[in-house]
Amino acid sequence: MANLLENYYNNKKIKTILGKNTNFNGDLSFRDSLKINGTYIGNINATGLLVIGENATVQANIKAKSIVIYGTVKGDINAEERVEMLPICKVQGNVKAKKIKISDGVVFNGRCEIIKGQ
Amino acid sequence: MPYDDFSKIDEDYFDTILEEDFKFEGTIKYADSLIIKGYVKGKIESNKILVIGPNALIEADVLAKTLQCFGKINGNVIVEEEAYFHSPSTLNGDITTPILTFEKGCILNGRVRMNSKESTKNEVKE
Repeated sequence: MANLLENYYNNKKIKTILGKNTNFNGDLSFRDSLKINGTYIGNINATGLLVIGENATVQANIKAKSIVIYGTVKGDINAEERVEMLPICKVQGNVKAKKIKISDGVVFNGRCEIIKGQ
Repeated sequence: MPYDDFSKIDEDYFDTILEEDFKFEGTIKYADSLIIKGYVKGKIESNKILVIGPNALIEADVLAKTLQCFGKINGNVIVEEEAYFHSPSTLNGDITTPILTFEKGCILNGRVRMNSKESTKNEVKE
């Protein structure tokens, strides 16, 4: 399977989208890719790529393969591969991943832990 | 926009699209236009149009302005304006709507209540 994150940056369309006015409250799981543009409260347990859009607010413990963040996240993040925090996101919580990227202008409050690759 | 064929629906019109790998348990609120192709359990509220895909399974109470169903719903449905069930969709639950279409081959196990638009709107607000 091609790298989901690479596909994302090559403008491969993300199929599942949670729209900007929506409010999701509960437990979510998915395999492929998903983008949140609205409000999400609960748990996310996925094996794919999660993108948190610019105006999104997420209050959740997140588990996914790769996570790209543009919006606001409150909760612990656990990625199998990469976490990218891009301007002007806000993250409050502990982050665990193989690779972590924190861009200029990001507000991050929490601990970082790098998982050693096998 | 034609709704007679699910594959012809223009997805760009919808701001929330939930694909087949999507599984969710909980409440979905304030969604404008929504396509569900995966699994949802709990409660769904949509202010505009809700489309249920052919392989979707909805185990939830549904509240929408317009409903186009190609899949399976287990739960009670309240639709403010119009509900359309395409063959071979299934509804196990009660439905309240002013305008209702069930195509030949659809399955309905439940009660149907047809009110005027206004009284259905009031019910939605409650």
